[in-house]
Amino acid sequence: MLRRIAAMLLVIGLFALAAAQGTLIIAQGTDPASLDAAKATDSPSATVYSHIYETLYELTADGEVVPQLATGVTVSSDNMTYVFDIRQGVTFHDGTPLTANEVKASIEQFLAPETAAPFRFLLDRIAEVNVLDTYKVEVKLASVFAPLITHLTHSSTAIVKTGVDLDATPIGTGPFEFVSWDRGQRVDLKRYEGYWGDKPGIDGLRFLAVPESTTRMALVETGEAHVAVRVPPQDIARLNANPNVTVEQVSSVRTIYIYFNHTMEPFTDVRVRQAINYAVDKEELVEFVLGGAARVSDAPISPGVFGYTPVGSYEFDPEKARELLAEAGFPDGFSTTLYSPNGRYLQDIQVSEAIQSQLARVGIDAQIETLEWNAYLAKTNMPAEENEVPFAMLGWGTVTGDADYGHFALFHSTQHVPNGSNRAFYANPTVDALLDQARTNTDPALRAVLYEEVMKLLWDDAAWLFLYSETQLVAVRDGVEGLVIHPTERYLAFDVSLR
Amino acid sequence: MRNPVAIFGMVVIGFFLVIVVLAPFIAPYSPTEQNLRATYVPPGVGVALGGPEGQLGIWVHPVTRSPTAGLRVDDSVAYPVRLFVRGSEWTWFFGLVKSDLRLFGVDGPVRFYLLGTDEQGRDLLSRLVHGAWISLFIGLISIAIGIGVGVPAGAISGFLGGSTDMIVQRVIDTLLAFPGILLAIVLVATFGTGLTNVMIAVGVASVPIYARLVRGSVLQVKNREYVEAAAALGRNRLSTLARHVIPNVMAPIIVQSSLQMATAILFAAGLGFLGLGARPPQPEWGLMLARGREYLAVAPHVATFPGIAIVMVVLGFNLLGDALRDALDPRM
Repeated sequence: MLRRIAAMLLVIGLFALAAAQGTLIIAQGTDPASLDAAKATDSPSATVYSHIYETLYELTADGEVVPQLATGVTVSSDNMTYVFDIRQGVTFHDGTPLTANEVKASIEQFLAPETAAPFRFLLDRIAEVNVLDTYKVEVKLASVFAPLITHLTHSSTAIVKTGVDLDATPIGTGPFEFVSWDRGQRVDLKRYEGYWGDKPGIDGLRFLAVPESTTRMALVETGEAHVAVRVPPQDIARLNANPNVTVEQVSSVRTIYIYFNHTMEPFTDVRVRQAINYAVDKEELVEFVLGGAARVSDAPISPGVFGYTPVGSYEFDPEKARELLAEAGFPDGFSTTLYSPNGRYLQDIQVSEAIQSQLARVGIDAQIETLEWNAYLAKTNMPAEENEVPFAMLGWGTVTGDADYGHFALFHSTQHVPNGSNRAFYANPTVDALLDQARTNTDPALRAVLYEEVMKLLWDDAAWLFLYSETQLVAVRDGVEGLVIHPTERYLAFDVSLR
Repeated sequence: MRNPVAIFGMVVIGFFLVIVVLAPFIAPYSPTEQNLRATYVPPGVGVALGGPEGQLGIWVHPVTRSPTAGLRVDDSVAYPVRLFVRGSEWTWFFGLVKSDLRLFGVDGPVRFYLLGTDEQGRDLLSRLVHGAWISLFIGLISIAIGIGVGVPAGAISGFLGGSTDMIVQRVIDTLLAFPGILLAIVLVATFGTGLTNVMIAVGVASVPIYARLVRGSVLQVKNREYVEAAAALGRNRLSTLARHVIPNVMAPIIVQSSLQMATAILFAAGLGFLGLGARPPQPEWGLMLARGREYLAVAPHVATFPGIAIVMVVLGFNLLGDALRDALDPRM
């Protein structure tokens, strides 16, 4: 009897070992907010559900748009109608086939007012979706909309199984299917055997939620996790000294900035805004606070995004800052409040404190106010007349890889919070007109020219305190091959193999 | 008072008070001045006992840290550390005292970081020393709130008895049902973060403790002969309470205040740690501990020194409280 139990235990142990070898463990900073693609807005959620769902088009890590669930598209001559060919032989994780009907239902669910998708604006130019035959979907637009295809690469527009509670049982067509979600702890996925494309080389995927960066780094150092995201810059040297761990540095399309509230004195004066841009030494922040894990901004969006071109720089010049402040009527500076997140972005509070100290040198006394992340978003999301936030740090990832996403929601005057994401209440009729023109024109060359114009205007107008774009620091254990660290801050394990 | 433990407590508190009073004199630099080129320098790095030509004393080499080259000590130059030097000007006691005299400093264009620097390149010793005032102030104000509200409430409740006692005690029961730190967190979360709100919150959290304590003592005292005598002489009840009862229950209040001081400092540090108390860059100890924690693996000193400071002060007040209880309570 005892021998049989021992033998059984041995077999179970061997199975457990085999399973452990085939499972990639990724330690993220936070638990997903939601596994419903239409509802989540954070990159930890997107990292998880990008393995479960697929989009019609895919934005590769090189910034290329390639077909995924769509195999091709025919655009009408007036650019108002798109006919998508849907990939054949694709099944959902519950075994049902993907046809034009499912695509139509998924897009309509995304657009339905009761879904209240935060990213609804991505597809809100769609007037109707029609099924032409089993594998053909017709999308009719309300007006010409150039970024439609790039917007269809956004993970939030993924084709999902409709009519189920996706937060509890996410069902998609991706290479991994959902197993379980222990909230606040971990999400488990396993390889979907019915996947239409190349099946993953690993049996499963586990995402751990480990907010404490010290703990997260310890997990990858001891081998309890294969990948740990958001390495604090001060730990890079120590982790690289570990023979089993490498810190990967991949640039991100996320730009970090501090916006001015353009309805509040003294930020209504362009000279004050320029003075602050001159007073902050971005190079020092990037090198000494971020350990080099960033790139000083030279445009409102980052390299790697369509439409990006360097439009200028505010060289560190405290003398010029003081002159501009004096011209604007503040020879002795002024007091303001700098709102800062604490722990949301790489070294955010440390950067804010360094900026506070740099501003103090030109006479600007900025009190730092930190709030818990959701309270922070709520406070900066108030309508202009109730908004108390003069100056606040935020980041924006242009995750569609198109300049429209990086500008329209942030600078168009129709996008003032709480309706859009223009928390700065920036309003400039010329910028509005150029942005409208750029999104309704399908000629890439002309669009690039228009965005360059927009970025130059924003830059010279010092619409924000332009800071830097982040670099993603990811600790990866040796033996993990094929992990894609996507510039949209997602970590994709489709092609991973474990040694 | 011959108890060595009590003496240790008093020495710690005395040391703490001296630091509070003389903070800008003891601290060599400003608590908020950053140097991003000398971040988290460990204590002792670049410090030499003896000068380049065999002179006595402590000598300091310039230390810099850059992400590419790491921590570097420039051995080619050294400057001596001297006592009573003239540094940058400071003001203290709300602008009443002004001076530029510092206890020690470097005779030269470098800095002497006795306890090292934090992640923004600020002198850790200067931050700790300036933070002592914040901790003491939080303790005193919250005790004042606790005594100011809790003592009258408890005394009236115990002395009058009946329905007054009933109502007051049920309110106190409700407050006591919440652990103190939880009550403080709820108050700070509701009314906003910041040091003022932390003081009020910690004070409110100590109200029920004082009220319970005073009520119990008043119940013991109120049937004594001298209280009956005052009543027989026709004295007003409230004036009897103030003149004859409260002075006789002072001993436990004093003991409790000393213990409460320790609790208040701990609560304030806890709220600071959770990001609900002091705002950066204020040198509050709990906040320093929280920030230093992120650097534990590379620079343990950043979190260790604020931790030691909190432990020592809290221990000091607790030992003092114990000693006072022994001294003031004849039954023990």
